[in-house]
Amino acid sequence: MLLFSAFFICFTVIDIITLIKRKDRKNLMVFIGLSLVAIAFAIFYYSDMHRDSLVEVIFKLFNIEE
Amino acid sequence: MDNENSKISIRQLFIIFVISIASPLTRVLPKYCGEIAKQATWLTPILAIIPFMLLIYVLNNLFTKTKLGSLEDIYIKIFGKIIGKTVLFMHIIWIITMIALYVRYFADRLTSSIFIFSPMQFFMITILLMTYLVVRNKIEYFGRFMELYNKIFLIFLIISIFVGLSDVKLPNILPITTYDIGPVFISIVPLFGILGYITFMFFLGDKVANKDKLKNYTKQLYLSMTFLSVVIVMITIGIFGYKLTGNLNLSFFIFFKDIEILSIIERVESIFLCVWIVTDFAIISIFMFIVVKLIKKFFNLNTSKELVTPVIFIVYVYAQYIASNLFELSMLSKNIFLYINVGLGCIIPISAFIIGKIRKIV
Repeated sequence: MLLFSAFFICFTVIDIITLIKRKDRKNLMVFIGLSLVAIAFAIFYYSDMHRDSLVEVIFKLFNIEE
Repeated sequence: MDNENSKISIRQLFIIFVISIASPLTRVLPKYCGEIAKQATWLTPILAIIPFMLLIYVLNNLFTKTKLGSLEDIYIKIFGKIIGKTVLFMHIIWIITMIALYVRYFADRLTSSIFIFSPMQFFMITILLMTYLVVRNKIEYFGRFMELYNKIFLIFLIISIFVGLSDVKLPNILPITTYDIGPVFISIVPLFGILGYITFMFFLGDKVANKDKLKNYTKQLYLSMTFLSVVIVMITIGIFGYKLTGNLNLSFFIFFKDIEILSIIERVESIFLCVWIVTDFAIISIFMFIVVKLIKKFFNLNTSKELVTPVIFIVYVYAQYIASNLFELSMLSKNIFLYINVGLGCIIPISAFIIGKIRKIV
């Protein structure tokens, strides 16, 4: 995770600098939005806020027996 | 901007499609189709050609009659802006889910076959970094690589036939009676959960240079797709029988694990894994190309290559969250994902075609 986070931060910073240099505001906004979704998702997963995996959630929701 | 303008040929797109479906077919055909059609499973891909031809006809008509570049433009024109964009959003979410599923399958397959004590995350990071490098470059390079790899894949399949055919037991694939017609037709449904990916490929329509020559390559597509599917069924159900195959998660891999060449060369499964990893890489990369392009269209952006970074990170977390183990993953595929694939890959383009006919757009 640490390795992947390092990669993610490096690539994100490079991309943000590229987008700022290009003055592409719309692309920058979408990029930041998606990055925030990714970070929120990571916090949700790694902080153990979830109890079940997606499969268990879906199976409980639709009453499917394994 | 150059990356946005690079194009592949329709032949390359079909090659990418056939290589991409190889990995999911080894799961779906022997296990899920085999459960329904039993010893007659080898007939399923042959009969599936008819509805598949219908799907290709629909897609061809959508492109030729509307004269639009890609499928997302066609959906927006036919369904209107609000519904069209909603359909696009559904596709974005769904294809990200599919990428996460295949990344997880890729990692699980390796950790449950030869790298048993290795951490799953290592394989996930490796494949995602490879995908990152590919998707940020031109699709042209990916298309050429797949064209080259196609030859290696074909040699691999022919060798598999030579090695595996002598082990096929006739009672595992025969007799076929009239009672098998119904189950064979029903077993086409899960198979179409995979064949429906051809619709997703056409989201890259404007990156395909000669879409008008689609009809010239359809025969090759049907032939290669059926050949691949029948080989997979023969090697799995033909050798192990449908009952045993239904209980095995990696039946295709087990076949390769048993191979000995002249009683001297053993452990050829590593060669098999090398070839098979590329098929996983193909499906993950092409889906990544599609999802990035869909996000670009959804937000009306000029470029898309920067979006790969956050999407890769979402996929990495999602792939871990999706299931706890391989059993849960296969349950999810079997009970839910295959049917959603049928909906998005087959029912939506056919509905678009019908609505387009009513609205006199198609």
